[in-house]
Amino acid sequence: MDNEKVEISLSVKDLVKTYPGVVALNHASLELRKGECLALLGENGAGKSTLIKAIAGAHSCDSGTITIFGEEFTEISPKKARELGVEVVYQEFNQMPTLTVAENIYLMEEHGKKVTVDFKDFNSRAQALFDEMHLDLDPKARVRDLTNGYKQMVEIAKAISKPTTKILVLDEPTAPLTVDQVDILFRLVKQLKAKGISIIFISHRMPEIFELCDRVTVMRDGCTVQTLNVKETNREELVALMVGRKLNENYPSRKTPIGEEILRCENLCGNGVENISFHVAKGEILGFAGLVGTGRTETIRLLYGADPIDSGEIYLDGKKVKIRSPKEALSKGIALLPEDRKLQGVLLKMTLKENINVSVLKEQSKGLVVSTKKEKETADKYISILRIRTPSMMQYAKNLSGGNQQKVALAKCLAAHAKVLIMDEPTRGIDVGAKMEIYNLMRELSANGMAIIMISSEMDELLGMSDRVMVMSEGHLAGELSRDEFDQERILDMASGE
Amino acid sequence: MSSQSVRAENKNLRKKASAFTKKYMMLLVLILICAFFSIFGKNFFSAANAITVCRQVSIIGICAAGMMFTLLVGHIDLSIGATVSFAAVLFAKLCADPAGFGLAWNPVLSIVIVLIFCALIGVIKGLLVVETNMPALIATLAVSTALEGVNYLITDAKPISKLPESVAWIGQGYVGQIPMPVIIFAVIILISGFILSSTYIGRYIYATGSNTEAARLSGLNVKFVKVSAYVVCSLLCGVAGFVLATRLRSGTATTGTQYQTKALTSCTVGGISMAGGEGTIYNLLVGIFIIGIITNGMTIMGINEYWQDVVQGCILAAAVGIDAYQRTHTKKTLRANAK
Repeated sequence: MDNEKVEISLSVKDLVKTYPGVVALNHASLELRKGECLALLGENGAGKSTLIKAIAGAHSCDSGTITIFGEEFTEISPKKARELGVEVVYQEFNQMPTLTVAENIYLMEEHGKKVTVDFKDFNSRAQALFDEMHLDLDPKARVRDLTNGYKQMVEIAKAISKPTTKILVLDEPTAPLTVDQVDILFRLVKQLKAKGISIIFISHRMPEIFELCDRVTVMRDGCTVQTLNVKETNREELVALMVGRKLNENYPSRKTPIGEEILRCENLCGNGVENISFHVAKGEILGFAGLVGTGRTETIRLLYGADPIDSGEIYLDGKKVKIRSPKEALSKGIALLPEDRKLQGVLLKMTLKENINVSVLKEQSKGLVVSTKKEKETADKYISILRIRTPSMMQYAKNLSGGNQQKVALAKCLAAHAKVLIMDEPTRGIDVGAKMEIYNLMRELSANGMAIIMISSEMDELLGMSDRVMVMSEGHLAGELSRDEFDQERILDMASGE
Repeated sequence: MSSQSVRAENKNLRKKASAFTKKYMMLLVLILICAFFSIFGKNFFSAANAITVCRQVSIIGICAAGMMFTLLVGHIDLSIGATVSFAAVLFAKLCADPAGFGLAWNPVLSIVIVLIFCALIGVIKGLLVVETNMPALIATLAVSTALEGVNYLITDAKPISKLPESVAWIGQGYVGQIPMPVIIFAVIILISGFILSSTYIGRYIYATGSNTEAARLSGLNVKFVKVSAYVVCSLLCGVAGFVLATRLRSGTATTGTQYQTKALTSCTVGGISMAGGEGTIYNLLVGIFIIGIITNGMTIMGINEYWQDVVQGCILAAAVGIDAYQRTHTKKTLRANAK
């Protein structure tokens, strides 16, 4: 870009990382200069977290190289990365909640041959560090008593407390912070830059990038698309780069009209979400968009009775209903295909037949005895409808592929006579073929009058499948878009709370 | 594509083979143990001794069946011994005369009352675990300690003897060649097996133990299932308690001591997983007889009783250790495969 010689602290070339069925990194490359703040920008699942974990040595890659201060690696260990001065502040906190702030910061540092620990020294050093940061925090406070914002600040303080830190990676550091704390962080980043420390800054909040960063690398589908000088670009260009692709036209299209309203939620509160109101009609597919952790799953868990509702009303077929447990939800015809298929969706230790029938055992029974014949009929029916590929219905669920497990979980919902089907990330981690089958099934079901609520972090499928999209941001509804208003950039704007 | 399907088939075959060995491994061990004692133990291999073994395992076997229900829902009951003692002393106190309450009640009425109390104890254990989410280990240990105290209070720390003649046949009688406790044990095994394999209640138990959260999201009342498992377990302890009391024709506060350990050993040796959701009545039977025959065989060979405890402790550690190791190990290989 420019001809002056710049010092490169970190360069990543052609990193490839694949998981079964997913390419997480697809020839990702980036360059980090000394003393700059580089923004890493991309949608959910674009590969940002995978990339920084690769840099920190948290997982190895299939191919590609990482060069840190001139030393080239094909595989780097977490210890080596740390020795070279790479410090990462992850989104999840890695803290010992029962210890104090100062202990969390200094306990794991190298203490040579010393056997004893000087806690007073910890406290005074932590206090000095906080003073320097202009952070009002008691080093003796227990970490478990802190708000998430302060916990995040402790993580950041820990990362910069090491004199060896030369490259600092911050993964969405501002998400839990208050406005004041964000100011502190920004001041800190500027100080660090002046000291020659290089920073990688991940954020969904566009204005932060424009305020803080020098350059920005945009990621999409595991690739690093482009790197731009922040001063020479604008948000429209960045959003266009993030979204990038055109909508996949191959989604099965609606062939039948949408029916009358079947379910309506009014002012649902609880579980960290507030005043959620929406409705869905027979044969309609209602999408829920938003960033991860903004309350989409929490909302539908309220609706399904999996978590208690603080206040709000649910109307089914125009009648007010109370849903206090998943059992009640199912008996009223509301079924949930949960987010985590292995932990919540299927019973891995049980057979396919038992899984499909588990929600309807009572009606398959005469007295106490389960009717094997009815069970087999039901299992057979859904194995053929959903085209589940299995040697037999006696196969254990744990031996099936991800896509087929998802179909088993879906079969369980359908066998329970669902009228409203809630699908939380229905195609996460399954291969393209199985995805298409799930889309076709969704269309078939909706053509038969099923109301479907779908949460998805994949913009493509959300816009391809939904008739309407509700956008959530930080625990509340940020907006609603009907099909003719669909626009990826608008959804991103709403989701990031602008 | 074809090489892939061949590989998948090989993998399936290997899985089937390992499932086969897993299923019949312990049966093979049982046969080997029998062979060992037949060779080295005098008079081990005889019909009379076979009946003796059955009689010896019957009461522990009833408790082990109870333990199985709690293990299958992913919990454990360490108060089995205390509950058995409780049932024994309460039964003795109710129907013995004049040592008891002085009631000398009808034995049938006494049995009903004992079972009602045991069911209540089961409800307490279950509610403690599901409503507070405390570890089942601690909850049942606490109940056990409290019950031991109750048992001493009921008996005044003295054995209650002189149970009426009319109840002795439950513990001491025979039908043909077969002792009554063995028949009661067999009936309980048959009923338990039927419940687990053929009724929806059994299916609920496996589903809850296999994955409580998934079961709950599938519309099961998992709390009810778990409490029920504790109630069934305590009821079976009640049965074991009065059979024991009628067999000994007395009730003492320590009569069921260590029963939970023996029951747990039987279950885990047979292959009932401590993680819940895995294990059938077949596993239970194999486990009960492995432990029963080892005890019987060692006695026949004249091995010191205290050595038998040492052996049992080792077996328990080995059985649970292997189960836990296999579970974490398969998880690791799964993760490695995923990579």
